[in-house]
Amino acid sequence: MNVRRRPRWLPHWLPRWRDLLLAMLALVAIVVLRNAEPAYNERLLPIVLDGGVEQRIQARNFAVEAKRPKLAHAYLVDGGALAPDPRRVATAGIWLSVVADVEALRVPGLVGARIRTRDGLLYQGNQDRPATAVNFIGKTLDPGLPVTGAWFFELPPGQVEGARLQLFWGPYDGLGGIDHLVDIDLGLDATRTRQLLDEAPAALDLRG
Amino acid sequence: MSSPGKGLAQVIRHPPLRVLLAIAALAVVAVALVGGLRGTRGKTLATHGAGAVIDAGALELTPLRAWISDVRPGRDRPSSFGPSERYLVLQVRALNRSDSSQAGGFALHNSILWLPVLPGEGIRPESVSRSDDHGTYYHLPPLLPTGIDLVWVVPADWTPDAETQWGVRAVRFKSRTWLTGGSEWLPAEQLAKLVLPLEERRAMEAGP
Repeated sequence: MNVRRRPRWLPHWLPRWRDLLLAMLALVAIVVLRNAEPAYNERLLPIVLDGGVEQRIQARNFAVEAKRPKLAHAYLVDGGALAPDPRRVATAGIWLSVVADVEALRVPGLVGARIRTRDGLLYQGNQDRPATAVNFIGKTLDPGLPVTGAWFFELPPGQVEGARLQLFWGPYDGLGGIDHLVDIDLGLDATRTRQLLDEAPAALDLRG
Repeated sequence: MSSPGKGLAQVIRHPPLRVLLAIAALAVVAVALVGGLRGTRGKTLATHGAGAVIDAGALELTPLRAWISDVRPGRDRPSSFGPSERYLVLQVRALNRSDSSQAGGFALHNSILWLPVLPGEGIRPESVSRSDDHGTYYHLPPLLPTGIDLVWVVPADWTPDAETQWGVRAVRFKSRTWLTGGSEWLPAEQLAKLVLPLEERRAMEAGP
């Protein structure tokens, strides 16, 4: 059998052509497989449940029925124990609110919410803006006890048209992953949006 | 016995070693092309004062004013508990140009660093709150200009220089990160230096 012998002058740590070729192929395979691998956030993409307003939608851990959205330039809330005058919660844009009935179905927990605009921008609400008892953000729901409340979002007036309400189980979108994302069409077409913008009150009273 | 020079010449003539050398040279060129060999030392950063509009990637920042006070923004008197401390405040107008409230909030906490000693490490703000209601929120809605107070707690006996400096760092979108393979907004390069005169404020005039 004709076996090619390693030249004596060649240091023992230097690879031969065949080894080098195999190593290069392995490297190429690693790069190709790594690029084809879905990203961490792609692997955790939620399962979207589409729906509309005035429609009960049941997700894995909660059920929701959202009402028609409203717009307002500011809210009036209680000033607190030491301040009898109402406090005005203003925004550089406009407030969009959605009243809803929400029910936890299996275990206690939170339902997170955000607005997704036509441009794909995501707006999240804050539990203290406006600080009112009906603000759903941060509220823990108990199974079998439906609660009526509202989500509040501030966004530029130009982003209202086409905005959709997205709801998910837990406070942090994207971190829990592989769960239902309820995507609600708020019916904000051009005509409805213009009508809501025209009718938006200078300040909506949320007190008491 | 061959001389060392002759042996080396024989090794270099060997084809696998030539390929290895070529790969190493290509790797150095690739690292140089992506900026890996570019040093940051000696890079002169642009210096801005109040009113300048700075493009910091996820945020557009406009420094407005800076002050030192013995009360936190939103309070009308010093805390009656604990040791006496003072508050260094930089007020900016921030416009979130990222795709989400969450990314804007992250950028707010990572874009501006106080530079008490130069050269030296920058210090992140101890708290970040809105200038209007002084609430601490971890989200900043996209495309809505918002007044923000960045607060650093300093010892009561700290004597500030006539002008105080901050560093501005960009926060940029990475479509694929090495860690997760997913997309993220991450702190990036240093962009600019802010130099603002410090106002001295007393208890009843701490708010803007």
